[in-house]
Amino acid sequence: MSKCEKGGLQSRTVAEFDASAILGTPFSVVLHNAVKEKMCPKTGIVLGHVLPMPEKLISVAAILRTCEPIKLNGSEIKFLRKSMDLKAKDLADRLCVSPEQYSRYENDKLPISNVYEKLLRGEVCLHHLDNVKHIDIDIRGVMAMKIQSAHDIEKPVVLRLAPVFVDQDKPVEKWKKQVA
Amino acid sequence: MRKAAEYEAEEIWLHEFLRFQQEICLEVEAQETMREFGVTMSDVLYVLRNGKVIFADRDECGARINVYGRNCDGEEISVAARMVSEMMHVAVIRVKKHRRTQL
Repeated sequence: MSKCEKGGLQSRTVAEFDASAILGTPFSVVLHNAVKEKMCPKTGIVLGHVLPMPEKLISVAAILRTCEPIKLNGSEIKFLRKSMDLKAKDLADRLCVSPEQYSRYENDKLPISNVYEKLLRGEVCLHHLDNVKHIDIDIRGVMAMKIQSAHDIEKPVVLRLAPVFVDQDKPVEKWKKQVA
Repeated sequence: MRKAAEYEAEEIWLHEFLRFQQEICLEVEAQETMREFGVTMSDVLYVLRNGKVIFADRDECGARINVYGRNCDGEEISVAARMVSEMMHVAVIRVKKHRRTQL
């Protein structure tokens, strides 16, 4: 962290931080009391933000989105693929669709069918399972969910998350979903 | 100036930092350049983990490094970061996505 010209650094926890631009999520991800803001005490200039456990945060955002029974759009599919560090071709292979077909899903040229969408959701859950051990994921529930059209939903998807310490002796931070 | 292959120590150092990292710092300029180039946190972490350190400048607090690599879509990205030894953390200073050159 670079220092302000007038010297020194101060940090404070931000009550609400919208991390969607940083994470690249097409839906809102709001972090409560988790992000530290680094600022110059004299000038009040914000120099940067400290995000706790970025990889787990990406995993939690991906898992929670897959558990929402709202139809995935192209940018959400792209976010889920990138959260798994997969190339488009590799994910197309896993879903047993051609790369061209998969590209149409990501570019919103064709809506993904419910069958492939559930396969994708299952892949995402299985991939991130180890990263989010403290969240109960009902993969069967995900596979059996009735996917609703985004047009039928009044409010856009907003994930509100707060960090939670699981064990005092071994502080393992996890992300808790506050509001659906 | 050292060659890229000579920054192996910094690469190992960076990978260890990322393995044990509890947090990542994003400076304001990093957030702005990420937004400008459409680079996400997944891309930054992927490049830091799989990219090559092409420049490093050590000081008493840690090192200032430039990492160059490709994200999972094959886009070329360079990340300027600072490793802080005492806090075992990585601060991202700036991000740049390179335009693809067509032959």
